[in-house]
Amino acid sequence: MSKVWGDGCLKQRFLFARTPRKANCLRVSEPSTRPDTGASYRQSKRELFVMIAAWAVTGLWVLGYNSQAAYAAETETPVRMLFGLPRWTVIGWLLPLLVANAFTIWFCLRFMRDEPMEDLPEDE
Amino acid sequence: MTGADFMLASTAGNAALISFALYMVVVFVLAGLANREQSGKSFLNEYFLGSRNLGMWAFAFTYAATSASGGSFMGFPSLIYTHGWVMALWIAGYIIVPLVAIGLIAKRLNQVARKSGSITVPELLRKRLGSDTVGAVATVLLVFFQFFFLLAQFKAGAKIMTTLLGDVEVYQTAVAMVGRFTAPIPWVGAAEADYLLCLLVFAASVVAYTAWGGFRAVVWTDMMQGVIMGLGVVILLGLALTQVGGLSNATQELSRQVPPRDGNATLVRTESASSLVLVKGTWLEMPPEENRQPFVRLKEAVEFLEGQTELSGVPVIEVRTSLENATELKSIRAQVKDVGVSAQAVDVEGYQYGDDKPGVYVSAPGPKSSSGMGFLPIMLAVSFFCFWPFAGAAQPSYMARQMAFKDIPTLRHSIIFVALYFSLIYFPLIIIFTCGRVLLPGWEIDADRVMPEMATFLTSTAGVPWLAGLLVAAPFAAVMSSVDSFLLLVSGSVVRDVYQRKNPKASEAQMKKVTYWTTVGVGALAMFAMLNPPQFLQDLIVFGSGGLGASFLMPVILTLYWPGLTPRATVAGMLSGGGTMAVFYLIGYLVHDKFSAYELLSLHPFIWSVLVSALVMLAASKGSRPTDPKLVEKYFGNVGNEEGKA
Repeated sequence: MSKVWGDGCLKQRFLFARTPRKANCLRVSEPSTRPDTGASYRQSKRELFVMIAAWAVTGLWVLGYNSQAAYAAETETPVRMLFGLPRWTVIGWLLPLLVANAFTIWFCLRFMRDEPMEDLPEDE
Repeated sequence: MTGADFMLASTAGNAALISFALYMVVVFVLAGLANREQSGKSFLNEYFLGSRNLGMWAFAFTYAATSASGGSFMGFPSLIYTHGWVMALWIAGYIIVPLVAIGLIAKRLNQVARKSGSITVPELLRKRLGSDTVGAVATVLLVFFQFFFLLAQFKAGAKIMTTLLGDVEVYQTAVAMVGRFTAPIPWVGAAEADYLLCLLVFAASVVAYTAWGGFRAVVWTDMMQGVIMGLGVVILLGLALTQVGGLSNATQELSRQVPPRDGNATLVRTESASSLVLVKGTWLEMPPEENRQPFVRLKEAVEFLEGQTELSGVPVIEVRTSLENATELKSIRAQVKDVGVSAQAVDVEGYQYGDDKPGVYVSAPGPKSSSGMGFLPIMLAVSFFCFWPFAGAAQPSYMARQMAFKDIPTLRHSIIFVALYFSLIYFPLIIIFTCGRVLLPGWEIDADRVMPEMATFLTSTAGVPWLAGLLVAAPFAAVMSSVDSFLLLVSGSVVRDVYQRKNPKASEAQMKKVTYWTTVGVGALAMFAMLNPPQFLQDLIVFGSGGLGASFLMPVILTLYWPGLTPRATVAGMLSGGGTMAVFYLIGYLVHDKFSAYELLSLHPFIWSVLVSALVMLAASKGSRPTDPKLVEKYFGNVGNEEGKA
């Protein structure tokens, strides 16, 4: 029986990453020997939605904050600084960058699943 | 130039030449080794995809180095220098680029490419949808838009070399010879001799090692180039912060700066016994104003003939420095020479947005000479936040790499590496070149050269001019790593999707021959087209990458993730996306009288193009012939045909 990515696996991956896995969940870094195209496609689609959500949240933060702070900074005299940088660049750029990097690390190490690689056609 | 200045410049020039020569030797050694790897393997699979066996370091570095192109190290610094901290908002999409641009399609793309045995993007689309028309349209669009991208890189490579070798004696002799030889040739003679020579050397070297070593050579040189770029940025950052007196000082001085004014002046000479040449970039001090000290800087070289005391209509910029900006004033005054010439009747015009407005370089929308709305209105910032991650996802040159990694752990670790690498490149670049405005004012006269000028200035001031070679090698490496990838991509498409389709029984020896000559031909064509290049590098890059993104984003995503996609919808999506982008640039050209995008509702054309492409694809999928169910099952498994019907 091929292994599948059910809701239980997703929940486990999100919330209980360090708890023992369900028997029918594929393990990260341990690809099974035979590709299941359908399961692989569905998992890739889930990952796609999470990535788009991460992009949207980052956009709301960066553009939402800076639409006020960065455009208002022009009239500030003297310039408001944080760590020697214009304040809006720290809160609206550097901080989201750090958070996005942390999310990326979590996503790649904890959420993205390994898949067995497809074999090349014989004429390759 | 004083004797000491000459010695310093000469040392820097020789060091640059030695660094450059060493760098090229290593590149060709790597190409030779890569060429040896080709023996005993399927030629096309090895030559264009390195036998699909890239490990983490190779995949991550080749992706990062290809992405950090001439735009990142030449165009981007030029824009930071010209517009200030607003560039952080312009490039904000890069915060999430590694995750989205790689993660969005890499896994599926690699799987589908392996399953179908595809080597190029057009081939993958053709095989997945079972349509030759899809493959043909994809090839035409890829070659067209990628070629613009390639052109921009050729210009950047030649520009860097002119700065790198500017003071080397042998080089100057060669430039004089090239100038004499090419002057009578129509069109070619119109190009500056130094640029021409560098373009020729750059094109010849990059085409030679790419053709010789193929994808593996490109990947190996990318790894070396990635390391050089990272090191270069870290060293530049340290030097810039030390010399500017710390980040706080740089930000404060920047906040007091106002944009320069552009126009003409009359130069008057007090003594006229002999002729006098004033080089491009010469500074002249003007009488002080209440809170500011004005200076005039020449935009091009001028010559007073013997007995001549006045030159009128000389192109200049006027830089008005705040009297509180000690570092900036010191930097300009160190370059002002008493040559017995003063500027009079200065007739200059300010920026349409930001003129005489302190604070404009540390806020949004940033100064702009040609628009009263500033550099980055908020809707344009939204556009670029969409543009970088999604146009990045749809670049065929990155897709070629995504087809070549060996397994998913390689992909996961590479995304993390690229995220950290980009953070260490792009944020420091903004700091370095905002410091550049304080340390090297007045480079609006040739903003595209600010990166190599900054490297030379910082190392000379620090007393380590030999280091300039390494630092200038960073943008050079960035340009080379992009050019080689794009060359390979274009020649791959021509060979695999055109030649091999027409000659399916061509022998391996024939394929090799055609591949080598195609690579050389594409390189020669790009070089010829760039003999008289347009001014702004970044405009070409944004057009090229935007066109590719608009043509391929929705078609590729839906090809990989939507079983119900039909061949006709894919063709319609590619043509409408790429076509919309071209139409917006055509309107921009008619409205602005220069090569630039028309921004409807302040949104970048990429956004409109992707929207049009998506809508057209959805509409065209209704009622058109569906994809063969066997193909759907092959690429989507047992769920494919159920979802496709739904």
